[in-house]
Amino acid sequence: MLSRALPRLALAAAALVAVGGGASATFSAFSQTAGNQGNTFATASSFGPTCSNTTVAPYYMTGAEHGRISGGGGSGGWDAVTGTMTADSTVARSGSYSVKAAPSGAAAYVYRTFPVSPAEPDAMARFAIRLASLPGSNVSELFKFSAFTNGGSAVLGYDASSQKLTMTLKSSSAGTPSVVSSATAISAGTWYTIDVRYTNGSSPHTAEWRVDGVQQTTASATGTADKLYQAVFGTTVSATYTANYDDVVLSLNGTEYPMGAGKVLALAPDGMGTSVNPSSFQDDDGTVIDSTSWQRVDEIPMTSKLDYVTQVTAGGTSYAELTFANTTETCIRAVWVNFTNHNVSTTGGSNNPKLSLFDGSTEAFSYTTGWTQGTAGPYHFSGRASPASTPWTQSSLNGVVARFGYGTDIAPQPYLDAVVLEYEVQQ
Amino acid sequence: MPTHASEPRLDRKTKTALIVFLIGVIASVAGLATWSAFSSTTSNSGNQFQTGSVTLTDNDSGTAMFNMTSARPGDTVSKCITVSYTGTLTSNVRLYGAATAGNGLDSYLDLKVTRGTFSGATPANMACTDGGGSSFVADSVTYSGGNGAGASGVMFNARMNLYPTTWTAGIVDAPGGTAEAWTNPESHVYRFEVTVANDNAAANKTHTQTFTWEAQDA
Repeated sequence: MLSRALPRLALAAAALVAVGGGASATFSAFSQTAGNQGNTFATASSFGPTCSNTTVAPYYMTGAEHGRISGGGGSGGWDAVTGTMTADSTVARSGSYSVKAAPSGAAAYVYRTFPVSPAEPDAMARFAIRLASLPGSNVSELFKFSAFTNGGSAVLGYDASSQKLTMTLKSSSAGTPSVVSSATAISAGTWYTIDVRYTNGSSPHTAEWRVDGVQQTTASATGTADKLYQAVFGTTVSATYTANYDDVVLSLNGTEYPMGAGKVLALAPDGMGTSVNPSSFQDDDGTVIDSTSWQRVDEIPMTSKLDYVTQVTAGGTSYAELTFANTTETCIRAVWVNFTNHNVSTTGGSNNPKLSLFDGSTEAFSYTTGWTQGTAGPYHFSGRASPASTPWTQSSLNGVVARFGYGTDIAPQPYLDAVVLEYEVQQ
Repeated sequence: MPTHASEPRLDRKTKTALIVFLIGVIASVAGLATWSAFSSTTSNSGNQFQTGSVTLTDNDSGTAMFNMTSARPGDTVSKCITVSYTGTLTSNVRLYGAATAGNGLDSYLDLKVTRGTFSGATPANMACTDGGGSSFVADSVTYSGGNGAGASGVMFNARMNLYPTTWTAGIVDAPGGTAEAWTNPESHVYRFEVTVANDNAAANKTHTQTFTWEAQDA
């Protein structure tokens, strides 16, 4: 009997041990937690581009938002205008205008010339281009950077067979061109943002470029060191096409390439600020300036000289102050001041009035020469405004004021016809 | 007539002997119940029993590390929280958490958790630097276990939705691959870096998260 019972007891004991082991695995450790609760994360309702918070220093900038295509003197809009070039209010990528080139078996172009001293080894352009229809034959020039000495250039064109944009780089007039095509074909009636950096200060010369932010094959050619000369929009050779250009920025700082998508918008005067010695200024009706005088200098397109504000009494501290409409944009990379003037002298003179833009107490822009152009006009002058502290912000731009006057010599009498700010916004 | 076998019968002497024996037995038992034996006691008093403790705390003072609003792609926030152990038992620690609210932003939040120390005093408000010379210094140890764990004290480096949610799946505080034995007193700083992914799908989303450290005696 005992020999039969012992195995059964051993089995039962083993079972008890096994059960005990299971209980041990479940309750073997003490524990405690420490926690950090309620961490919340929320994103913006929509994502536009992330603002790079950079300030671009354009050599020239325009969206033609002042509504005119003017040239001459290097101080206003373009340096020169040739052929059928207009401010187009029917087609615009941003704002209300664009620059329209409509050569028809002829040249049609505008350009800006770069300073030759100091020599500029590279330059950057950012613009948008739109072909109303795709040309049936190749287009050799839609945009061109040219070199100063050896006839080199970097030229944006169009290849009709592939319907692609092309970049043709020549390191000299006799050099073998390097031709590359865009990765994809383009479509009629569509805006494309182009970034180009042309480098010819050393060998090899290169043309780096992007289409809608997509890097394209770089054109490259060996050559001798040269310097930048001009940026040309349109065609200097006979061609037939209709192209619109918008949101143009030219920079002599190659490191600003690529700027990427952006838009150039306008701000016009919307009120009077705190003028000093206001009785020294009159409206075009001969009355002293008042709270509505800004309406004499707010016209777009700024092509009229029928209404204006003029300084009638000399005074180096006297000025008429204008405020501008506010922007709702927040990522502002550059500001450009445009204004037009004329005078009534046919003999010229040596007056010294000034137009300034103030960002707080900092004079962000000033222009003193060119008030003796004559009676034709209105003449277009412009230049870059630099913020008191970089970058431009919505509040700093919305706070700027323009001051006209300061003239201690107002013979011939200066007339301010219009003021328009253009500003570039990252997209 | 059937015949019955005759049964054995006890003789008189045997019966008498048996009766005497039974009386003796009964008398013995009755005697035991009636008269106790001499006795003496000894005892061991004051025996105490006490369990060990597992005590883990942090320095958040009841405040969440993060309150990120209107964030955009690339936006990053960082906080450093100090976790301290004062239990009497040696313990292991694991990290895990829980999503308590939201509509999917955790899938677009890059979370990096790094263990380290402060080069000086502990900054206030769970900041990772006090601006005066004390800043977070990552441990020069390597973690393994996936989800971006690696060198320089990085325990987790992946989207927040992959952060473990249980002790079992938790991130073992095991620098070099061996679970660290936390003893009293021991503290470590954990830097949490959260970055919004560069993905347009992350717009207009929210998420609420709890981060938990759990110690269990080893």
